[in-house]
Amino acid sequence: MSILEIRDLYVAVEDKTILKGVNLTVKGGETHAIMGPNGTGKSTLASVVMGHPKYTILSGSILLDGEDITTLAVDERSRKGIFLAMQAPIEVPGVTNFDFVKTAVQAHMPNDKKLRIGKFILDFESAAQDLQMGTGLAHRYLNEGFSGGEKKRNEILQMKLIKPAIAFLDEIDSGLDVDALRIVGENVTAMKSNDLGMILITHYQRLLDYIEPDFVHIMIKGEIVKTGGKELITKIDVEGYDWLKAELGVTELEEIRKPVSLGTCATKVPLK
Amino acid sequence: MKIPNLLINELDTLLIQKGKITQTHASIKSLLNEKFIRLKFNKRKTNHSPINIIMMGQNHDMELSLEFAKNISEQINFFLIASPHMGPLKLSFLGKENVNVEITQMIIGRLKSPSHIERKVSLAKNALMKLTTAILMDGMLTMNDSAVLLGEEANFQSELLVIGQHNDDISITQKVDHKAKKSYSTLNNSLVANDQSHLKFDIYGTIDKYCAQSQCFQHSKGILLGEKAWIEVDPKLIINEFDVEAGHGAAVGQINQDELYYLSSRGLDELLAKRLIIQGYTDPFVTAFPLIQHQKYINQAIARKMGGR
Repeated sequence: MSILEIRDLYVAVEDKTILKGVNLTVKGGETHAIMGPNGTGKSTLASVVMGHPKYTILSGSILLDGEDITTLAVDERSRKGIFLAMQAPIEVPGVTNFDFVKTAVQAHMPNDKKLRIGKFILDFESAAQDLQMGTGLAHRYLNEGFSGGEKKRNEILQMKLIKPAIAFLDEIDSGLDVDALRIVGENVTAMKSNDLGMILITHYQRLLDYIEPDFVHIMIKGEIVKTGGKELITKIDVEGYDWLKAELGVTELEEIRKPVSLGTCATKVPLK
Repeated sequence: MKIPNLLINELDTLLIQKGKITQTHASIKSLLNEKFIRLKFNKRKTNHSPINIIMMGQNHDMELSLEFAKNISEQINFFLIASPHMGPLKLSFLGKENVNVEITQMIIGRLKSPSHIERKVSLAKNALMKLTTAILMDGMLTMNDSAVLLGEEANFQSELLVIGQHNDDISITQKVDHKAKKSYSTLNNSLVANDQSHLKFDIYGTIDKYCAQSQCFQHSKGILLGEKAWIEVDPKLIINEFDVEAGHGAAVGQINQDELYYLSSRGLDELLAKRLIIQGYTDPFVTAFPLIQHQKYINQAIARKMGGR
């Protein structure tokens, strides 16, 4: 059972501080949901834990089983057990889904062990069938030409085969129709075990109807401002975040916009 | 360079070396002299397996013409093994009415002095030719590719892979000339430049007047893997008719960082991730060769050109 501990994390992108002291502990077997208005840093948190080079950690630490992983490269974090199902999975033309997932699964195995290709093919086909991804998935190029729903299901397929210890699912429900949401929900729920800690980032209750969280966190302006149980989801669904803003005395959620001069245009000067 | 065993052991192989055909194929008529070889492909009653051609480059100028008779379907796997001081080589691929020809060509070997290859394609009415080429030789090469679409519904589809390594200097001019209405052409180029290699492409697509409803597309993508590597692509369209579809695009740069991040987030280290992305470039060319042993040979050549990367 793995433990992810995020301690007093401050993160900036370019000159702007996005995360302002995030604290979160996720243990294997637990499912956490992070909700919050747009632009409050939920996806940033997931990307920072994964190690996206765009973000700078100003202070704080990210510990996986007691080891600080903030200095590790993205691939090293993945091999330690971190997984991020991305909000907008990248298309990689020319690389087939099968080759990619096979290479990824092999990369997670100890150096002295070799992937048994026959078993992997069966596992891949079984996972594709569970997610109702249709035939021919193995030979399609990675996410190229996939619908929004297919891309999200493909992220879950990778997660099923890579078997991470800690997984962030970043808005995995966006772009999914009702049936696809049910399929994803059922597959993710089936993966629940003491070997997997999950963090679901979502805006809507509908995903959490299928994947029941143990903890619900609300993030506002780069901080986790409230933690509770499932009752929080219903409250947010009915009342939005206004009650919380009032409770916390938050009046301005939107970014303060400063006027920027774009320079002057050439104007026609009347002849004297 | 010797002929690799992987290639020579194949049946249905036509072998051209020292200006002579030393092994031939029942369905091919050949005419030759010291500097000119003409191969005529006629309709086969049985046995439709691909025909393999292995040609060894000569130190003097050479000309080889492949002529496809009306209404035939043929697949040709063509291996050109360049000699160190290869003289100018002229290759012609002539398709008559209603032919359906797929040619996969691989150019390998090490050039010690600059060499020149000219390839001419001519297609008659309803002729379809798919030409897939992998240029994996070392040294300095200039190549002039030209295709003339003479008949209505003539269709030329070219896929070209070039991998440069060390000080390779490869300069290619591609020209497609639409001389009939409803004629179609697509040129796709995939370029990889390692080390200090230079790859230069000049691409011309011309649609003549009265060649309405023709389609002419060019697309080139290049990956720079060496700090001093250099790729230049200059696509051009010369259109003299209104009712046509045409387009060109070229994208040259380093490996896409978003793609690298995505692959890394699944545990692939940078080297492995880059290898997989490059494999995505090269695989369509490898699999265009139908025989497994040919694919194995091409994969070996690609791995060598990539310096084991």
